[in-house]
Amino acid sequence: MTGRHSRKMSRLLAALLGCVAAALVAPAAEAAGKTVYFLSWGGTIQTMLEKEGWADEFKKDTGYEVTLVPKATSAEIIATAIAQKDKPQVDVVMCDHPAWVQGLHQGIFAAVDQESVPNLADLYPIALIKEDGKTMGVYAYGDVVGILYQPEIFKKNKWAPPTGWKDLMRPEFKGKLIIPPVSNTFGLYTLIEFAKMGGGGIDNIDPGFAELKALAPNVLDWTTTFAKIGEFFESGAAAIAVFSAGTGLEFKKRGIPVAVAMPDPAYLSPTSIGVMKNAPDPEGARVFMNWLLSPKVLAYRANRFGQIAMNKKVELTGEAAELLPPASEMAKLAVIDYDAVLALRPAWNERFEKDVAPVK
Amino acid sequence: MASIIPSDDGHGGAAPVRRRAAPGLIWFPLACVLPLVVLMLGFFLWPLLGAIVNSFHPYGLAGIDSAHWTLVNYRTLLDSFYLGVLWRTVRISFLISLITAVLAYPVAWYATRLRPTAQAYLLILYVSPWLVNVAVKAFGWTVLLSPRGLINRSLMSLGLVDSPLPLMFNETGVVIGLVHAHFMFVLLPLWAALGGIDRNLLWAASGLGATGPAVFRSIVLPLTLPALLAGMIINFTINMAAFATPALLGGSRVQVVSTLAYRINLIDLNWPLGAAMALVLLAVTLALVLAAQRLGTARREASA
Repeated sequence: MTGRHSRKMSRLLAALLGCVAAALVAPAAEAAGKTVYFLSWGGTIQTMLEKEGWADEFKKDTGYEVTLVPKATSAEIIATAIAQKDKPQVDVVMCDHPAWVQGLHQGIFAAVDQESVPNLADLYPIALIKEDGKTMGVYAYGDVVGILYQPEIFKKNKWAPPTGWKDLMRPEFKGKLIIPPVSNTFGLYTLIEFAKMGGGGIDNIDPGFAELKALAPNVLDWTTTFAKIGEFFESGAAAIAVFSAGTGLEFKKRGIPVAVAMPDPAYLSPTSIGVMKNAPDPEGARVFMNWLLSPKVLAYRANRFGQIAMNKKVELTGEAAELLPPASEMAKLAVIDYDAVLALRPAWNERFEKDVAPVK
Repeated sequence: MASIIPSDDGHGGAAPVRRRAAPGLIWFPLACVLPLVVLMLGFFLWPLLGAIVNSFHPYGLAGIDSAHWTLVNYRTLLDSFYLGVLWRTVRISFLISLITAVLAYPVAWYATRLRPTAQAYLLILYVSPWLVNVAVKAFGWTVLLSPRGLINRSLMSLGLVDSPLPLMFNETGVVIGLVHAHFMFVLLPLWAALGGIDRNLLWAASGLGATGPAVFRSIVLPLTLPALLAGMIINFTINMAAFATPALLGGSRVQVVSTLAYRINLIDLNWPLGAAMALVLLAVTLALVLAAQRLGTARREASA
């Protein structure tokens, strides 16, 4: 190694060390202000806070800053939260309820009350998540399970549009049907609904698996993500899919020709929010949770992303008013017994992979 | 791991002359390595130890039960379903390495015959898939391989097939995607080794009447075997751990250990079972790598 080389290397090393040092110092400097760390998705939540100016809005409303810690899926969000349960670095956690409830059972959430989170008073009663009489978290908003289909393909083949769960079994959809796997929230609802149709339910899931297995040869793919379903629809590979109704609206906005049928019963798929136990800033955490549950924020999410607000004071306008269920319908939405499902789900996931997924 | 690196057997160069190095030349490299060592200890070895400990704890709804010790996670993995997934992972990974080796030989051979600049361009071409994000690559393959993709539409409009060939959501898709993604790990060592072969040996062999295949079998293959094995071992281990490509091109129908580990760790949150699985994957991969290396050294010693 020549001297010139060695000097170059030392400079490179110094630069690298500098970067490391800067990275170590930066978060410490940031934490000096009053910042709430919010663990949630990188999708519409990030769009809202970072692209559409709602983080600034939060600062204007409360004086606090918010930093989003974004993850791709609910499972990753709750896994991150559980991983730091002994020494939390985030204040507020929000994700799909079936994942959120896993965190609840591991005791990672702190109770909240109306004093610190006044907006709790305006939520639908169904939204409060109680444990031993205390509110451990709430549904912030929800989506309903929908049957998404491509009207053009249906018209071309002279198929009748789907209206309910039974339509998924129609033989003409062979190779064009998408159902998420049971490990996915919407796949879970499908399994439970199939079990009910076969005379079973959460406590007798066998008919559900029998039906999924019978349907498996018709399934193009057991798809988990919004993006991939969109791709299947866009390429014309899929004609019909089970996913969230809100996803259907988002596809429409992106120019993918999709219609949504609301099956009966329509399952509410809630998104839950809670404050971490021993959060770095417990007060700021509650301020943020209250802000997120405010009519202003939830109305924005309803109108912008088609999500069903859990705050009674939210008023819907335009497209959202037409497409989302009105307040009078809220009570009719089916909610599954998540506590009962939680204990059974790992076994269901495994059974799905053993018995259903390999079937062609 | 030192023996994974292609040895200089095929190059025939003289051993470098040992000289006394200045003190700076000893300490400086050590100082350079130190950050990485610290990083590996803190972010690889420590979590790995944590995973080993976790894999012996039971898991319940309340989380990991660190008060109790159990072998139940390893027993679960003995179930035929998990063994089947492990076997599929090993089988596909090996198949990919094998296909890659067969395909890489002609490319490497061709490359060594080009001018140096042309060689560089050709190699960059083959390295470039590694520089593209794995999800982007997989979506690219979807455009080609899906039932309505370019390949199937072309075949159908040419009347060669009646219904789309199943090119993805099965093992075929995973194999195609990974051969493409990890090609350079076999190609590069092979190219280096082939470049080091003394061409006079080949002329001599043909001069003595050896046919093309005979020259390959008795000269090229033995001389490049260490590099080939090294490349295949690296290729194999990366195939074993691949996640995004199997997830996107295999779909939910083709489970491999990494996609199953994702479900167990991140959806079921059963970290003890996930840890046991990771350790089994690590052990199986290491065992196979060591076996391959032993095979390589045995061959070399036998021929020496």
